[in-house]
Amino acid sequence: MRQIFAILIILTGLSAKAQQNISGKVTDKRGDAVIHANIYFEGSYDGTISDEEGKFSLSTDLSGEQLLTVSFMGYETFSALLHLSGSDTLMHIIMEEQLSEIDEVSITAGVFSASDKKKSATLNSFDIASTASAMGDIYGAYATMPGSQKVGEEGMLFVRGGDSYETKTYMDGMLVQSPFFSKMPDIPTRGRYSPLLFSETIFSTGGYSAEFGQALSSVVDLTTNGMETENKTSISLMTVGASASMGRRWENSSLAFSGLYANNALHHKLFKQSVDWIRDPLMADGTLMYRSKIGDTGLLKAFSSYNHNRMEMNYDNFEQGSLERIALSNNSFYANTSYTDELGEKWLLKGGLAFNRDLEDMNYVGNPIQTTTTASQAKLVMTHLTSEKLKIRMGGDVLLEQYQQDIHMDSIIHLEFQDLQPSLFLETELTLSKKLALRLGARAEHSSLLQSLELSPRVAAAYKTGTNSQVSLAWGKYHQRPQADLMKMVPGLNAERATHYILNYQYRKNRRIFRSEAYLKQYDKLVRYLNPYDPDPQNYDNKGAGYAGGVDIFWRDQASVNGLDYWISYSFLDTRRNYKDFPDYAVPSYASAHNMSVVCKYMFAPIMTFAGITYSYASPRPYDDKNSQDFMDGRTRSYHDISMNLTYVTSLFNKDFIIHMNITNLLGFKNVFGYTYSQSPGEDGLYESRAIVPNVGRQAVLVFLLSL
Amino acid sequence: MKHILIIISFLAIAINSNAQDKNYESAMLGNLELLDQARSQEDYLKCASRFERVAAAEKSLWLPYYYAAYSLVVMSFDEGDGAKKDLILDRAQGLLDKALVLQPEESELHVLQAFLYPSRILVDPMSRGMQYMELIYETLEKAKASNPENPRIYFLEGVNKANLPPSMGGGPEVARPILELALAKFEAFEAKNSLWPQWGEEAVKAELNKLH
Repeated sequence: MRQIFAILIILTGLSAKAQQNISGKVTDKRGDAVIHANIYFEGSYDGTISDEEGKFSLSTDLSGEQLLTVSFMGYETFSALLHLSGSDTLMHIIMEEQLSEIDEVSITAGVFSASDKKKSATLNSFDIASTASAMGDIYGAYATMPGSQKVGEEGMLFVRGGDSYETKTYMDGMLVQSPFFSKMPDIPTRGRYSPLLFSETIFSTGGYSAEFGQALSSVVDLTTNGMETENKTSISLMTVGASASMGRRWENSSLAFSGLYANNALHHKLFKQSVDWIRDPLMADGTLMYRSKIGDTGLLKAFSSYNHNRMEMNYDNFEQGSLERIALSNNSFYANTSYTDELGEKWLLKGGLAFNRDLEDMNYVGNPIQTTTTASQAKLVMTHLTSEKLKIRMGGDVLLEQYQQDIHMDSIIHLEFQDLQPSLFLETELTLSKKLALRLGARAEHSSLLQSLELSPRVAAAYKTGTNSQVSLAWGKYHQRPQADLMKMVPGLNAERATHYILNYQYRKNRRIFRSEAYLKQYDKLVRYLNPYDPDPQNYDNKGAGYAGGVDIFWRDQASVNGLDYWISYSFLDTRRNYKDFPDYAVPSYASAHNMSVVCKYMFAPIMTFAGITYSYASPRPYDDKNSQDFMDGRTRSYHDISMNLTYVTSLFNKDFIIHMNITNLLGFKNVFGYTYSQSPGEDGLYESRAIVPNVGRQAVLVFLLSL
Repeated sequence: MKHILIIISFLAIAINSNAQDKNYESAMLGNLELLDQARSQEDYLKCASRFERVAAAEKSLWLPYYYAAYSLVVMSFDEGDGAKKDLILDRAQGLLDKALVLQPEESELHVLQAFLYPSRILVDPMSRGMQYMELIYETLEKAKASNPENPRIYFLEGVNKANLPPSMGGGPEVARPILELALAKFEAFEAKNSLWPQWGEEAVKAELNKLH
């Protein structure tokens, strides 16, 4: 027993002798101290943390090969194998910063990302739904973003001098052929889909990725919601109709249904209309979303939606000097199924099928015009995560577009075409360093109708100039097949083209963001014709061209005042083009030089009330004054609008109850969108003119929503 | 002699492993005492670092990860900068995830998860509120399913209700009975060992006092 005791004493004596000291400093690559880093030997409890200067000193009685570990939030964990032999050691430990979403350099040229998930969100679906002037319309909310023009009589997006057809909408990566309700002349339309269906929306005003084709100016990319989180049901009553939604969640799948019926009849009694309605506009839709988890990583999303709208009016065609009875009925079906999965650790797969059929029945002064547009698409995208610094995306899709139109006049005129567009794209995203990222891509697209192959190279880069700021650049070639209304008459046309150049600066700190972007867009091969609806293909060519240049500024601040969120966007646009039936280069009628939006939202938390107000301004728009020699030299008065909304959250029968009110054009500004002229001059030799004005001045919508 | 050697070697192993256990327990108890005294962000960060060291050595035990994550969550509530708050919570979530892999059914881990989410909400209440409130309820249900006697479930539930306006199904009238239930559960609660989570009881009393 004495022997054992002796051995133990020797052992402890030995270990006491072996104690040694490791000291030094922990810094980042720039040499700045990393404060409070955790420094320890793996497997032992002893350790220390670095001080305010990054210095540390650690004593240990371990010996032999030991793993020294240094860890801290936001840095890659550092480890080094040390041979502890009893002599003190001095170390300088350099830690590498982790690439986190906040600090990571990312290409921001042209892109307004609106995500609920990402911290980099600029606008999310709640922001869209609560923007007063948008009236719950996605495109209405994006009209308050820089780069978009206020074109009140259209309701579609006009981006950076581009016409409305130059913006395309994608849902879960698949093209949505007819994202807007069918429209009547001079009556603004709106998007078919509610912003609440989407967890993420991206508005790109140029320089977008090679994944997207067939858009000259802009892309709106919508990502539908994932799995429903719980069972819920809600019903709402509005002064313009009613809606209901229901969500059901099971272990690995979920189903959501929503339906809407809207009728403007009551509204038209309350708010004076400048339009002579025969049948008030009516809209009905139903949307079904099914989600299912497949395996550990797969997600199947199925979306289908059916939309109907109809209306009838006496259209005062001033130009023709006649009152024209126009009736419209539109039925649209859209189905979209996508599947995403991980294949091993390196591959991501995304596949999708989409089908869109749009039936439009127009009755123009007793002459029915029936138009059927069908778009079917299949798409596959594979992403290879080669390394943390390199990502390769490749994919292809096939789009089949079928168009048929029957015009019943004295005889039936039948017009139709079919276009098969297969395409391939390849794109690499390179993170060269924490400061520099590069995106190189190219797209090849064939059209059976145009019988041409188009190649579009696209390049973008971003460089971090500071902790909170970065500069991005983008360049790319874009092309788009001329619109169906032209292709049906002149199959021999070529694709229109645009080249984008973008320089972007962004500063972001603590929920404040400043962006400014300068751009130049050159148009080429735009379609020209002598007269609209000219049946003679000889009178059409691809010799149009144009340019659009300008500066977009955006400032958003969610941090300065508690509960207040506001953004200001301003756009300057200089554009001229020669297309359609223009006799020469001119500023198109939708383009105003200055556009500005101020959007404010404030939460009165104690009374559970949310208020929003927006002010929109657009400088005078051009119109063609028939009484002057020059083309498009008239200018309207400038555009102003103040809209506001109020949302009050309370409870009714122990259920959440929401009262929401939205007023547009609160101050009743008399806006003018343009002028039309009589076809022949009067006795004084002058053409008589009349203003194109909004169909309604001030108007309000009241919504009651009950969650069950 | 042979026998003695065998005895020695066994003894050595016994002393060693005993020392290891004792070492773990005393290290944890020492850290818990520091955690108890922690007041500033820096104090909590130091505690988290200490627990992380233990976690790195005892990779099969969930409690060191739990306390490391807990220290960071408490620290995050005092952080004013949203980006930094997210960074701290990312770290805490990573540690908590490791513990959940070891003990997926542990009620205390789900409670900690439900305690982490409100701090995420504070970064951006307007856009994160709805989503995380749902997650909090979901997680507390999981905690209840594993152990309905865990008093911290009712503590978090009560505090959440107390902070919600009556129009949203909250308010003092709704919160009080839940907090009283929490207090009763705290009194009946028997920790499985000296290292078991103990926090919450004082806070329940303070919250109840505020309501009265």
